[in-house]
Parts: sequence; C-alpha cells; structure tokens
Amino acid sequence: MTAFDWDGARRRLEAARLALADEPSPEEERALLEERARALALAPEREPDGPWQDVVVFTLGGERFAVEAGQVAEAVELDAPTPLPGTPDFLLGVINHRGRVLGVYDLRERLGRPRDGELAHAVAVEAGGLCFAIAVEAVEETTRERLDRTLVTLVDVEALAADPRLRIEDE
Amino acid sequence: MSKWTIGRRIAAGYAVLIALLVVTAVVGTLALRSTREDFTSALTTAENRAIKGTDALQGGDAVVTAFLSYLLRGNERALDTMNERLEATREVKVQLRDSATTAAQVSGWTDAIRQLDAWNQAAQRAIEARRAGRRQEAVDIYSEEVIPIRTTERALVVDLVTAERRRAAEIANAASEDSRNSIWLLLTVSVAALVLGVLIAWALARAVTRHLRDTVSTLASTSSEILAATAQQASGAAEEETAIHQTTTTADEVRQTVALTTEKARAVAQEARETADISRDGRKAVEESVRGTQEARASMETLAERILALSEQAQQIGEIVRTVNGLAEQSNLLSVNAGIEAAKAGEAGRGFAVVAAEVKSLAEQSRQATAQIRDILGEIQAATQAAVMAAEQGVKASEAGQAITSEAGEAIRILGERLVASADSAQQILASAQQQMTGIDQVAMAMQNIRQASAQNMASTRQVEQAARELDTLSKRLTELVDRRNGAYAKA
Repeated sequence: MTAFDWDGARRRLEAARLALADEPSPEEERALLEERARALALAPEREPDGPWQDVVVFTLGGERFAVEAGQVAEAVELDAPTPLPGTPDFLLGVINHRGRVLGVYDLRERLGRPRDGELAHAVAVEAGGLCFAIAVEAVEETTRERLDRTLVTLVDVEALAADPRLRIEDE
Repeated sequence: MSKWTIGRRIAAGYAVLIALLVVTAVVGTLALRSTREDFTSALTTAENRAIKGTDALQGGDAVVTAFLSYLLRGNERALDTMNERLEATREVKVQLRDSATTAAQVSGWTDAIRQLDAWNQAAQRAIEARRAGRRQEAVDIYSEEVIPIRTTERALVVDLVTAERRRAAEIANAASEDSRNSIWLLLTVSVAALVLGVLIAWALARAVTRHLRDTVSTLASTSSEILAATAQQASGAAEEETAIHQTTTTADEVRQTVALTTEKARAVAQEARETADISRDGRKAVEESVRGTQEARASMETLAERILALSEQAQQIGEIVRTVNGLAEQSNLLSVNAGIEAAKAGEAGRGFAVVAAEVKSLAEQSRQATAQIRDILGEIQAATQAAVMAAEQGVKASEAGQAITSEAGEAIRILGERLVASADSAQQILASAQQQMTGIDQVAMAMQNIRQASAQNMASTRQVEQAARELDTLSKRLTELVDRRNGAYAKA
C-alpha cells in the first residue's frame, strides 16, 4: 500500500481555498468577457436574411417549440395547478394569473410527444379572445428566429384556441 | 521296608546274620556247657559213690581182719582198730544212704547198714566170749553168726558198689548222648543260619541291585538330560552373550542419544528463555500497537466527524445553490417576459430586448454555474460518503486489527507462558536426562557385571558339562557293572 500523499493533499486543499476566493482570476475574467463579446457579435449576422419573427421558445416532451411572442402574455412558473373534477386529462387544472383564472393545458399528447417530463413552467397566451396557459417543461428564451430555417416548431395558438375541445372550460 | 536305604538294608541284613551267629554260638555254647556240667557232676557223684562203696567194702574187710586178729590173738589194740574201722565204714554207708538219689539205693544202703549193725552185735558177742575165755564159743559165734552175716553184707555191698559203678557208666553214656545231641543241634542251627544268611544276602543283593539299576538308569537319563541342558545352557549363554553385547551397544547408543538430548534440552531451555524475553518485548510492542491503533481509531473517528461536518456544510451550499438556481430560473423567466414585452413594443423595445437577452445570458450562466456547483457538490457528497465509509471501514479495520492485535498479544502472552513452561519442561527433561544418564551408566555397569557373571556361568556350565559327561561315563560303567552282576546272579 502506497503511503498517502499528504503534501499533495495539502496543495489541493490550498487550491480549493483559492478557488473559493471572491475575486475571479484575471484569466477567467478575460475569457468571460471574450465569450460575451462573441455572443453579442454573432447576432447581427443573421439580420439580413428572411422574415424574422419574435417567438418564445420552450421545450415540451424533449423538443423545442415556440409560440409567437405577440400572443404570449407572460411566462410563469407553474406551481401546483388546482385540478378540476370531471375534466379531460390534458386539462391539468386552473391557475390564478394576475387576477384571471387560466386553464392549464398539457399539449404533449396533441403534439405527439411522450408525457414523461416535469412541467415546471407555463406560458400564458391570448388568442382569438381566449386566455389560457400552456404547461411546458422549460421556457428557454424570447428570440427572433427565421422559423423556416430552424428546427423549432411553431405552435399555432389561434388554431388551438379554435379547437372545440378547448372550449370545455369556456364560460 | 521299601523306604529303607540300601545302607540300612545291608546293615539290617548283617545284623540279622550276626544275631543268627550269636544265637547259634550262644545256643551251642550253652548246650555244650550244660552237657559238660551235667556230665561232670553226674560222673563225679557216681564215681564218688563207687569209690565210697569200695571204701566201705574195704573198710568192712579191714573190720573183719581186725576182728579176726582179736579173736586169734586177743589183741585189744586190734579191737580198737576194728571199732574205729567199723565206725568209719558205718559213716561212709550212712553218707551213701543219705546222698542216694534212687529209692533202691536208699533201701539197699539201709539194708547194708542194718546188716553191719547185726554183724557188729554178733561180733561183740563173740568178742565178749573170747574175753571171757570161751574161745570155742567165740569161734562158734564167729563161724555160725558172724561169717554168714558178713558174707551177706559183703555180697550186698558188692552188689551196691557194682550198681553204683553201673550208674556212673550210664551217666557217662547219657552225657555222651547229650553231647552228640548238642553237636547235631549246633549243626542244624548253623545250617539254618547259613541258609537264612544266603537268602538274606540274595534278597539284599536283589533289592540293592534293583534299586541300583533303577538309580543307575535314572542317573544315566539324568546325566544325558543334564548334558542336553548344559548344551542348551551353553548355547543360551552364547545368545545371552550376544544379547548382552547388543544391550551394551544399545545402552551406549542410548547414552549418546541422552547426551544429545541433554544438550538439546539445555539449548531448548536457553532458547525458550530467550524467546520468552522476546515474547515479552513482543507483548510490549503489541500493547503499544494496540494503543497506537486506538489513537488511530480516535483520529479516524474525528476525521469522519469532520468529513460529516464538511458534508453538511456542502449540503448547506447545495441549498444555497438551489436558491441561486431558483434565482437564475426567475431571471430567465424575467428575461423571457422582458423579451416578450420588448417584442410587443416593436422597434421601441429593441434595446430592451438586448438587455433582456443579456439578463437571459446571465441567468443561463448562473444556471450553468449552479449546475457545475451541483455536480461538484454531488462529487463532494460521493467523496464524503466514500471517505466516511472508508473511515468507518478504517475504524472497523482498526477495531479488527485491535482485536487481532489483542489476540496476538494474548497469543504472545500465552506463548510466553508456554515458553516459560517449555523452559521448565526442558529443565525437567535436562534433569531427567541426567538421571537417565546415571541410570544408563548403572545399566552399563550392570551389563558388565552380567557379562562377567555370564562368563562365570559359562565356565560353570562347562564344568557342569564335564561333570555330566563324567557322570554319564560313570553311569554307563555302573550299568555294565550292575548288569554283569545281575547276569552272574541270573547264572547262579
């Protein structure tokens, strides 16, 4: 059995202590700034191409989907929705959003995705005079996308709103 | 009789023979002596009587002569002589009568005395007539009375003397007869003694010879047995000699072995003592080791405690990270919503959209950082768990080690005690080996003595063998002797 490397241990502990210090090292700081510069520099390159659209991107069933930003009221965290008895499975319940009662829908079956992820967020949308919330796994970002050149699927909220099944909770 | 020894039998036989001889001699002597005495006394008596008778006869004649002389001459002196003679003659006759042994003799001699007295009366009358001077009358008395009486008396006396002489002759004849009888008796007794003696001698010889033959045959068989026994004994003695030699060699070997054992036992005792010291040192080392192990265990427990504390602190970090994560999520949502608002605002919201994007980027970075921190915390937790488990195992191992070390210490203690016991045992073995050595020396000495005794025994056996051989020869010679004598008897 080889003897334990106590000197090495001490060096490693020192390194750990240094790492926990408040100030990042100069190299790290520089790397961080360069990364930010690159990220900012990339955005204008896409500008000249095609029809751009502001969308809110979220993931559902492991796939990225998007809705038009203009139809989105707000992205919120989905705490436990209040379930409604006698309603279908895809209606998870209702939530209180800024004084309004919104039905929360699980669209994964409709979108042909497996129902296995945790639905941690909800996107409140307004379309066709309807307000409801789409339960999602994660809200990623609000971005401008050329939807014909991306793999993000745009969810047609108008169509959803027109779906007679969603009328269930219509008053 | 059969229990009598030969010497006793022979002595008895000779005693009987001697007794026979003595009896024979005594009987013969006594018979002869009695015969001779009887003969002598009888003869003397008879002859005396005859002589006295003759004296009486002659005395009578002398009386008659004196009477006649007186008658013729008137001599008074002759008368005295006559009376003297008469008295003597009468005395003799009275003696003869008194000493007579037969009635005839008594009556005869009584008659003779009476006639003598009658004659004396007649003679006295004639003497008185003569003295008175009447010669004629005296002659007449003489011729008519005295002579006839005298004649009768003389004839009677002569007859009596003759009878006495005849009697003496008869006695002599009887003595002769007696002596002849004695001789016959002697002869008979002698012959009987001879025959008896021969018989006794034969019986003796027979008895002695039979017993002697039995004894001699027994002697022969015994001597041959002794010879065989001595031969066996000789071979046995040779084997004994070999055995003694082997035993002596073995004893020497045992002695060497015992010497070796002594040396080894001494070495063992020494080594056991030294090893006991070493075991004492070992025990001390083990005790120190136990103490060290206990300290190590305590250190390890402290270490585990510290690691647990660290782990708990890491957990607190995790909680903080979770909070940070939540903040990042909210920031993200905030950026998304800001982006939505910016999008709704159209061109006026462009700058706001950039800020929103920046916020989103920060939120993303925060999320990544928290993810990293969570990973690291997970690793720390795993490492902590491993460290705590390792510490636990270390404690257990140290406990086991302590137990084993304690056992080792106990074992070493027992070992030490056993070693001390071994040293004692070795000491005892040493003492025993020394005693054994002494014993083996004694055995060797005894073997030497036995060898000497065996040699002496061998010599004795040879002597015995020689003696037995001589005895055998003697017995053969005796057998020949006895058989020859027996043959002689058989021929006889």
